[in-house]
Amino acid sequence: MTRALYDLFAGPLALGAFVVCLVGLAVRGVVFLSLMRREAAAVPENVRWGWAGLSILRYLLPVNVTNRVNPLATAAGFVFHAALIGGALFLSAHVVLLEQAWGLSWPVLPGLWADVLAAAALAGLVVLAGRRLLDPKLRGLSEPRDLWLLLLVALPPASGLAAHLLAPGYEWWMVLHVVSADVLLAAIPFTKLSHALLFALSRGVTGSDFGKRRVGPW
Amino acid sequence: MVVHAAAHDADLSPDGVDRAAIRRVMRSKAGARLSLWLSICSRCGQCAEGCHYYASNPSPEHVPAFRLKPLFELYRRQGEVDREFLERLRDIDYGTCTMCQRCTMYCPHGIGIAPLVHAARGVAVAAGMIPQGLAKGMANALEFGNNLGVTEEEFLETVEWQLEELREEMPDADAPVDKEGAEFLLTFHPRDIKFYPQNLFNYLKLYNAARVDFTLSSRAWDSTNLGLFAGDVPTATRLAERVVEAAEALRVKALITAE
Repeated sequence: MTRALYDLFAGPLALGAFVVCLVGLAVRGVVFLSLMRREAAAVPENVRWGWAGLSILRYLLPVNVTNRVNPLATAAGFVFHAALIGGALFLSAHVVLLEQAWGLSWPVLPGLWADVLAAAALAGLVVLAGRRLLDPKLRGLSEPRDLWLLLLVALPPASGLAAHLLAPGYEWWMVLHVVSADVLLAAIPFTKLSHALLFALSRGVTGSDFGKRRVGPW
Repeated sequence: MVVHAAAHDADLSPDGVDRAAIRRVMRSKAGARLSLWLSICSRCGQCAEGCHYYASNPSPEHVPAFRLKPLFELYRRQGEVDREFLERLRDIDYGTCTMCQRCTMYCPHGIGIAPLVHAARGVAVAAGMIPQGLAKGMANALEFGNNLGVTEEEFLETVEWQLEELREEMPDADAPVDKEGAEFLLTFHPRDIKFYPQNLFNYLKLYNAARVDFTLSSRAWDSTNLGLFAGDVPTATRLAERVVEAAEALRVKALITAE
């Protein structure tokens, strides 16, 4: 039973989730760029590529203003993103699956890192969720889906960690791991998680706009 | 026109909300940026740190991203909203933002909250819900060329009066009006002309001391654009055109807007 479920969600449905994620994100990016192009058709070309690039870079690194005014949230955000993406891409179990399925392979992290990265990602998520639940300004801002999405993002690292550390129920943790990862991947283009790609477009456009006034690579 | 008016009336719901007009303006605002920004705001609250409303009164309603809630709801409901909703939109989007854009400098995603607030105000304009004081200022600007309704005569008298005062300490000071071919055209906040002429005195003193080749326009001297502030794009365009036309007629090299 768990074996069949695991094979389904780590096999054909995982492929489906990847396709939905990548095609969905690509469609959203193309729609945005073509709308931008159409709107800009009436005015002279005026993109400041340098400022756009600097703006994206500045917010991919913890060197921007949020770092100074909100160190805890910035640290939690960066640790969470780095650990989640690093774990998803460089854990040996993940790379082995990819190699078996599609023949792709790249260097992997030592085994211990799996637990460290999963724990770090979860710690970051706990801080972000805690702020959302306790800080009055975030409570006023939050929608229920903000918390559901945090939970959805927490499930793959939490179940992966549980499968590794807890002997009983290993099969069920692995089923939860692949199911939640598939759902997460497929949800990316349709939720605010689409910022995975669209962050760069938005930051770039804004960086270019602010660059015209030479006020910094915001 | 009669047919048009009848069709217009038919769109009005019993509570007097013109949903057709709202949907029209929603379509005109729904560009690439708006749909992108509304969908990726993560409600992380970093924008709060950049906001002077939040700095002076740190309540949840003063977090800049909070101003996107009515707009988000409006698009989700495809314009099917009632008067109460629009009043809330008006109070939030006019009452808690000066569109200074500082929040965007704090937003990791670079969301232009001010342009979105501007779009929300455009919806309020379409629904006939501009705050009264703002509507009055816009009407003044269209009629008199400045938002406080200062007449041309009053303006010229004020300039003459302040120039006289200035000449007591700076005998060769000048304030040329409608001088063709000057380098700069100066414009002012009408408040400085009507209530704080000392500020005009200071401007004139500064530009004279700096030996800048400037002129004033007798008709287009208002540096503000309440149409832009109100989200009323046609009015904003008319008000901006007026100043641009004066600058072009005087063949100045640049326009200086002071605040």
